[in-house]
Amino acid sequence: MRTKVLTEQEAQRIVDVVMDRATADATIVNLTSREGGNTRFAANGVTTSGEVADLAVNVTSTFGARSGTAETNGIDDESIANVVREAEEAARLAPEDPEYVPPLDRVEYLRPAAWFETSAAYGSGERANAVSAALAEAESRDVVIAGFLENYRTASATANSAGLFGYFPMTWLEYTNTVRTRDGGGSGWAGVRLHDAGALDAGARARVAAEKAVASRTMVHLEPGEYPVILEPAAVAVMAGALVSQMDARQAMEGRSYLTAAGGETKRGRRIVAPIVTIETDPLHPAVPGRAWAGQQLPSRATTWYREGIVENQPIDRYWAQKNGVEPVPGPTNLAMRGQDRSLEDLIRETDRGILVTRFWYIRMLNPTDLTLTGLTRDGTFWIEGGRISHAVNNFRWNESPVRLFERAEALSRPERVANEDWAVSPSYVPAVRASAFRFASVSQAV
Amino acid sequence: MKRRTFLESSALVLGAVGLPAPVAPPLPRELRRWLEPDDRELADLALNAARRAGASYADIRISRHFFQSIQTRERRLEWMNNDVTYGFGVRVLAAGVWGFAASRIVAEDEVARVARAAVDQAKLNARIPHAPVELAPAEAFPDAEWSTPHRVDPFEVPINEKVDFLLAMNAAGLDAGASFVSSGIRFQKHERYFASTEGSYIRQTLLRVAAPWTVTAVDRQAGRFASWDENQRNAAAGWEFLLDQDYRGKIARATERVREKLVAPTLDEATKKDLVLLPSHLWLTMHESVGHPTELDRALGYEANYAGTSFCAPDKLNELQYASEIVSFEAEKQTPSSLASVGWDDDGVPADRWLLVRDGLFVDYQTTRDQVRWISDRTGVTRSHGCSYGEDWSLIQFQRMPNINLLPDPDGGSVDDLIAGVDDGLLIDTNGSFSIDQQRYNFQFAGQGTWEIKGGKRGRMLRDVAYQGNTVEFWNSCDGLGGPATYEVYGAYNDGKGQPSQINAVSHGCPPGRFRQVNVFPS
Repeated sequence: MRTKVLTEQEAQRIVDVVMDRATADATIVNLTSREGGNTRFAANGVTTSGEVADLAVNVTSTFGARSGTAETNGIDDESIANVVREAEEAARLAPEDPEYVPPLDRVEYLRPAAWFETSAAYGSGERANAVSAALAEAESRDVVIAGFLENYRTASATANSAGLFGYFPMTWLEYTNTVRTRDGGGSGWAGVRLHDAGALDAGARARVAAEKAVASRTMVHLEPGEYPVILEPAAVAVMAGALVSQMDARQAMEGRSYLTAAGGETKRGRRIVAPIVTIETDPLHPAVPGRAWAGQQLPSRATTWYREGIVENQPIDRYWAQKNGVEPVPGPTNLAMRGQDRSLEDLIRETDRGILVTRFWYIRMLNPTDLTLTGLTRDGTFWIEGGRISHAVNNFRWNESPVRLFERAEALSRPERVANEDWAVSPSYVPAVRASAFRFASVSQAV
Repeated sequence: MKRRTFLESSALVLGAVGLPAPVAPPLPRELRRWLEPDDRELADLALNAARRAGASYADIRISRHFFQSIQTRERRLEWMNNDVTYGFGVRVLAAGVWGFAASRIVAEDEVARVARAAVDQAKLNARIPHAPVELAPAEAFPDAEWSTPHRVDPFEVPINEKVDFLLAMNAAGLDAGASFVSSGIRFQKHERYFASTEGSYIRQTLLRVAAPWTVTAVDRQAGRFASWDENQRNAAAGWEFLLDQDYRGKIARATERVREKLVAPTLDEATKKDLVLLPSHLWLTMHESVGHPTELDRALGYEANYAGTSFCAPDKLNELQYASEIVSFEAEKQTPSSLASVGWDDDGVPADRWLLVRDGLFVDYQTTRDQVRWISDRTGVTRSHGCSYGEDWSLIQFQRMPNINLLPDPDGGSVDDLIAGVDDGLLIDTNGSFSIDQQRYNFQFAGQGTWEIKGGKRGRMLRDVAYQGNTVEFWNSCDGLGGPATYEVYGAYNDGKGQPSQINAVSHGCPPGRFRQVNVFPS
């Protein structure tokens, strides 16, 4: 039997079975189904690959204000009966939740166009062809390539006992590759996440990574310090993602966020980054469609987090919104940062001196009070002199806050799609950013 | 009784009761398990289908994974989830290449179909350039069983008891004056069945428990806050492990410290100082700077596109003085309560114990069966160290970190003895911020609690302090370790590696250690 992702009718049928079984005052069901595969390669050869089909039925039952949740990956009647029973048993044993809000009434969800037939038909043969093209590119340049190609078809549904129902199909593909020179002295990277598999050119991504690897083989030592910087979009996605993911309204109002201000205030409405910085979520974005709904079944909608440098909106959950007499704001289901009408090459040309960063690695919070993060540069770090890339430099550890980075943002490129990274909101559509200063804290010998 | 026989008789029983199917009460999970197909029969069907399709080797993992998470804050249950996922994955070697396919439908037709799909995939991949896979020899275990030692299965404890347990933790913080307290439990039970074409049939049950918590103090007028986070105390054990921890005492103490931290000074400037690192902190520094660099796949470039490579290349074996002579690191999967411990790994290889660093010298790697031939000429080890692990049925197994421990100094003393040897330094408690580069040279760590050491004595608390070092330089600066009585075990519950990314759980035991002249700075 060939497994397929759930159709809208199948999802509705499972929801009906759950609701038939349910005896709670309120029941919420979330379904996710996925089918897809991956091919991994390293040392100029394919290493592992895999195919998987799975789904999850997640049920939250509430009696009064007591809630319990259970989840299963079976959709036979017995599994569904069990998952409902377990959620209800858990609910009966749970304490009353003083912050309980009843399920949402019916809502109209947007329908982001995230399903592409090219991707739905993409399989192990297509993956093998793409990987072959990347391997051939590496062989022709006498470099060592490692990479990963993964593609999924997914379908999600959300429903509740108040009659709400939503269905959202999505395809996605992610391709990344790292190229190293044979002597281990240079490393380069390129990657992208797409909804439309037809847009993938793995050979071109291998070429970009190979060119960076070769160009970074002869590094000139550079001392740590504060330098002007151009961050490529992969690095910007991390910083923009960190900025938005730590915006939660309740955290700020409770006094424990970078948006907390003295005297019990928050920084909402204040300009805290440069006026060229506008960061939004738009579920209907044509390049990076978001999801139809966010947490608490809230419909995803166009939201500006930062408008021209000003904190405009913060995610706020249903309870906290009700308590504060405002509308809830769902969290981001994608992230789009506005750019300017110029290329990365233009940004480099306009730069007298500074560091060009391909991407970041191992980012962690260092100081949550001002959102200082730590991380490293990786796979292509170059010195710019007189409007051109002069030479490669060593990698650095940096300790820097995205607030401080975007405060110093001077110019942006046209945005583009990026691969998913830690801290980034996926999918993201972000520009390269030139900033007047960035704090590189220590040298990393790593290549 | 064979399950199939039981299936038939239970169907009769249900028929006799005559309950109409749509409203029949669900069978309890334990009873329902008997109605499922027999694992061994399914495994043989899959393995035979793989062989017939052209596999030279195949294994199947049929597994059921239970996860329970409960999260509270202050006096409120925030959320919970009880998740079960069941399925199987078939891994095959055909034409010298791995193929893998997985499905949630555990049924006779499906295991055979998925086995053939895995072989098709291997053959397809064989047309692309590849290095042929060769497996090191392994003994067959035709009827093996193993379980994590425990007294109380945490999934059998009623939810209200667990919620009360957490709310009592929170109350300890609130009573001591915390602005906010959150706590949660994360339980895992993995029922895993492994069978291979080499004749192994292995059933294992792994249990893992953890209760992470955070205490926060806020000064609203000043717009400042400070927290103390603990997520490192976990184990392969039952509910009893959590009952044995004095969480209320720890949280009350952390609340005092976090209020002190809120107004504590930081360092005046970046400088070098001696460090005394407590086991609750040092375990993570070991994990990042010793655990990951000694993974053989990383060292040979197989993780280059994600987690990175390693400075610890094979030509450094028996050459590199990784650490000072008082330092030895062992790897093992045998300590009963440690997170990575098993009876057999996901290659069917029994749990091992070996040295990675002996008296400071780098002597060996972590390996799986398909890696042994890459390194046996240099190590002289011709068998796998048993480091194969797949997170669940849907993900292919590959090399994952075992438990890695820093051996205590047999003649070593207490933490105070280590502190007494420091004129100007810092004492660091519990893991905080952590980051390391993709070849594991440059790391930067911070703790939850940092105190000055002046003239051999612990002094005032500092806030926002981190240290940064280079792995080999740092470990060679170690000139003191605590004795056996100071040895403690902590662990990483969610260690990520691989593409698609997989989670592993791993413990690290260590005594406190003293390190000379490390870069420190106000963060």
